[in-house]
Amino acid sequence: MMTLRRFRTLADSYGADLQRWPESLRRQARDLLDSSAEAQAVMSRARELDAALAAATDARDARLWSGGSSDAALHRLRQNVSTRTRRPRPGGEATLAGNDARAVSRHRPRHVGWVGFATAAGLAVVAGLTLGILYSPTAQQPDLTALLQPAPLQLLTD
Amino acid sequence: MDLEGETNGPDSRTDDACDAELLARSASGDRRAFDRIVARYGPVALRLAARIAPDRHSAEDIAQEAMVRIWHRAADFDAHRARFTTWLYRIVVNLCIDVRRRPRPVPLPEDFDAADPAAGAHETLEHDERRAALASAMDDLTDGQRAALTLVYDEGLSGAEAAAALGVSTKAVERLLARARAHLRRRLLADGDGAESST
Repeated sequence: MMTLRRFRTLADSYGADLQRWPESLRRQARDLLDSSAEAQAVMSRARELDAALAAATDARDARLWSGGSSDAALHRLRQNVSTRTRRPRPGGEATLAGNDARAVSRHRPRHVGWVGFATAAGLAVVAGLTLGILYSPTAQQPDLTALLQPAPLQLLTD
Repeated sequence: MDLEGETNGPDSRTDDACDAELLARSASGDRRAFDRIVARYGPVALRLAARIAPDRHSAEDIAQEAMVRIWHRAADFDAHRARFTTWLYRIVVNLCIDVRRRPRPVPLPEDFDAADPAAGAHETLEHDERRAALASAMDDLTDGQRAALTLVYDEGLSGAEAAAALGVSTKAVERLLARARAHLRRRLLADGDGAESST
């Protein structure tokens, strides 16, 4: 059986709506409420304060959000969050690769990226020079019909 | 205010599983999954921040920062240890407390240049004064008291759930609630004498 003192303490915190009270204590509170005039008086005063509290909360909300400004605030929130989350995450790439990409980037030495880039650039230069030497135009000028042929075919038949 | 978002309803277990899945996909860089998180919980973050933060602009900044932090730390979320909403509440409340600690200029009220209606000006003034007094009573609460009140009374959390979100014990939440209510009773009710327990 719940004591009136305990009942008052809980009403002081959770107010008159028993749904807010700890679930394990609600039945005992209801029993006391049914049998005790003092408990009913405590609840009556708690209900009065609940109403004042709800009015105070509404007043504060009305001061903050007037004329549909909450809709505009939500729109700004979605836009700004979308913009900010497009930037890469600190310490990892914000890509579809996600965790795997981050795991790789954490274990990959920084200089590996530069070495790869330099190697690729060098290979591209060598390939360009080779193609230029092999397929440079000859002194003999083709006629107009030859010029209109598809270039790969012409290269293969030369 | 139209900031209805997800609440702790009967389908909360399904929601929890869905949240965990969306968070996991967000952690892998799935922006669509994160857009769904923002759509579901942006209103909750904004509503909670607005109830605790000193003004609307701070509340918007806090809600935005909370969602960005969730994106950056999505991989840290462990669904076995906590519900997503508890994590969200905790981030928002901590950001609100951080903002309150910073010195800031005193802003003009939102309606500082509102026109005075010619008809019923006296009644409007009384109504506005009453609303201002009510709102001011809420402003006077400490951050912890306002956070506890918001989580339990507005968001529908139990004392234990609010305690988890605030990082304190359930007893501590009950003390915060009791002090907040005692303060509001003194401020809001003419015949108030401290607390319900005085009867």
